[in-house]
Amino acid sequence: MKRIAYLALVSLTLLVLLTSMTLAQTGPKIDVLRYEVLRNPSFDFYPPWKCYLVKSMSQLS
Amino acid sequence: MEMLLGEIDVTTQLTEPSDLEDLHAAGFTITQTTGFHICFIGFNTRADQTYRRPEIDFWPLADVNFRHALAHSLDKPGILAAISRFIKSPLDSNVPPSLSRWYNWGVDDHPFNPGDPFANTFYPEDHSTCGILRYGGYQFVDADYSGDVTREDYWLCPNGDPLPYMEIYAPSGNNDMQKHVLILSWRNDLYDIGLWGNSQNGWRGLSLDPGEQGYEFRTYTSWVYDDADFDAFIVNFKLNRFPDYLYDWFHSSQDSLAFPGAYNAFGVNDPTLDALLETLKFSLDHTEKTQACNEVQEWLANPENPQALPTIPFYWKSLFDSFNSDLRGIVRSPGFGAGEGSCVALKEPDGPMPSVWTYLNIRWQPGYERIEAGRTVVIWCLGDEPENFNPLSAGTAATWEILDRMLDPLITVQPFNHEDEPWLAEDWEVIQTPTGMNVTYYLRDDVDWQDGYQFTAYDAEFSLEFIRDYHVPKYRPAWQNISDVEVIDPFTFTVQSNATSQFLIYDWAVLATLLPRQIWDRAWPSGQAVLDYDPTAHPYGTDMAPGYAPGPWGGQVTTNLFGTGPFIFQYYDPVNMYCDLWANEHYFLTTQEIDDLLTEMFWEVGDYNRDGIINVVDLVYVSFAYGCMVGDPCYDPDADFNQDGWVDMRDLATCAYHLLWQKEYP
Repeated sequence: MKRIAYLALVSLTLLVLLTSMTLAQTGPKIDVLRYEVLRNPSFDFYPPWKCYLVKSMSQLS
Repeated sequence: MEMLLGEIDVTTQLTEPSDLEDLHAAGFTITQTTGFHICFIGFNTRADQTYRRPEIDFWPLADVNFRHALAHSLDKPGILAAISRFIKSPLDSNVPPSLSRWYNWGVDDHPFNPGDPFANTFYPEDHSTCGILRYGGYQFVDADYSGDVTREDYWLCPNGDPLPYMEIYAPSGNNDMQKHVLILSWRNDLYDIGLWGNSQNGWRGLSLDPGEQGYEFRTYTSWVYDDADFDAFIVNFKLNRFPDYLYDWFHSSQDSLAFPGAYNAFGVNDPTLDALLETLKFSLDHTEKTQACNEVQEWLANPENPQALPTIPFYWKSLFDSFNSDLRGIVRSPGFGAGEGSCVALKEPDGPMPSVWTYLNIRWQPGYERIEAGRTVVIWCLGDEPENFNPLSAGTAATWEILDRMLDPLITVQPFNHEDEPWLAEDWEVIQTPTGMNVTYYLRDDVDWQDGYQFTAYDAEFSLEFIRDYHVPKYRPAWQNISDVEVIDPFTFTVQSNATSQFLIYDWAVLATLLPRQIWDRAWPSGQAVLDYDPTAHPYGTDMAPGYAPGPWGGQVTTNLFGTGPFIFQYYDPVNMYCDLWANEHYFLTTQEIDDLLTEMFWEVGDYNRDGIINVVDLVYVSFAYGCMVGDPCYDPDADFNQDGWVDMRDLATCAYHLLWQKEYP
């Protein structure tokens, strides 16, 4: 009986230890942070005529 | 577009209104704050240009009248309204209003007033570009006798020579479309008064490169700051919470021509300004510092000062950051935004940034993760290619976006109220000495480099003395006053300085963790060799410093680029232009500790019940305890946000000011 109680206690302790180690995750909450160079993220939306919005070249001469 | 297609999860610092509208309509999480950010047009103000253009006899950009005239030719409100619908706001000072108490509201804004080249009126009665030019001795030439301003026309300098070709370095449209367009818009206004150099007037005046293509941002900023080889340029900077950068930009000891890589590229050398900047940088009296800061801003904008207007401040901006709607845990910090990454800018090495919090806390909503090979991935947009990965020479914001994820400072910033927050240092102490100050940092004893070597005071000593001994140019303001670094015990060290400065304490807190001894502790042939070293070119375990073996966690580090931070650099693929960083499994904080820290920091700004949002419930609880002191039965420590033993108006105001703020978004 004592042996069973002892085994149960050891198992329980191990279980608690393992669980706490698993739960005590360190650092960030994601695994990978990937940076993709996407120059000028607004470029897709940028209508070319906007370059000359303030004053067009044709107005200059 | 990439956001909408789900190819990118995070894009920060959006400046195109239609992008924001589309993303908002599609349900993306959008955060907004005013930004610690500045964009200016800078000039090479050295009268003697023989070091680069020996043919020049008279250099107009060295003449304050010419620079003053140019300041009135830039239609900031008109251009910014048309291009960015005031996401970018006109700026009149070298300090943006977001730096609140440091900003001088009284600075001359030099409003847009181009004037008439054909008139005969003079400044100050005619306070226009043309009036100021005539006052300064410049003469307009109607080259084709048309009686109208055409592309053939130009101006003569006071010595009778035509204006020389003065090139404005600007980013290409592919690199930074908005900034490219801003300069093109200014060009149009300069054309109208004959100041724009072009093929038909013999390139007499300001101009872009002949093809008007512009350059790579990192290329031309290197010409400017490393070589002082430029006429004029447009640049934006990510700033920090203090304006001590003014010292780095305008003090005569930081001249880029004398010290390549330093930040006074303009060549400003003004004893009056130097004295004010020294007060700003080195005084320990807050009132004196703010006063000096105000005077610096006025003096730089005052046309009576022959060295005024080395820059035309152009704009500052609101930070709009957008996140995939399945992402959680986004921490918004006023002035800094919710994350970095998409900004084509320079970043000054001037102290800790609070943006670490979003990166530590961001996570996917369970069940909606982006998973690759069993790992959760967040894809972050980077606005430009990194120029190199050497923390001693990298200068662009794109590179520092990556480096900052690996490098942890000794002190960080509370994201919600910008107070100091202990990080790798548990505490620090400042003692004034007859000649300066001694700053003692007390380090945590549970921090390791990412390869498993323990981070100790000996590492901090090595890093700081290395930067000083090799005269690393970009950190000159930080090391020039270090007399000695003394290790007291493995987790305590003292920096002895021959100057006092609040800002130096933060600078050293960043620089102390920059360089692992196991890589950098070797005899370098020269200071240049130190700057040229590429730590990513060497797989970890090769090219280590003599006497060092790979650390116990060397397996998680792939190259000689690593620090103590939460993410570990894996590789940069220059062909497909992406960079992977992996979570540091041996980081000194657990996710639970990170959660607890955020909760406590948010409580400090008014979240009485620690439920992650400051609302009327918190206000009511604080009202219940209002007026109570320690010892009173009604005293409630949870309502005493500033922990002064008295729940008073300051606590109530703290809560009310931050009403409806959230600890994290969405």
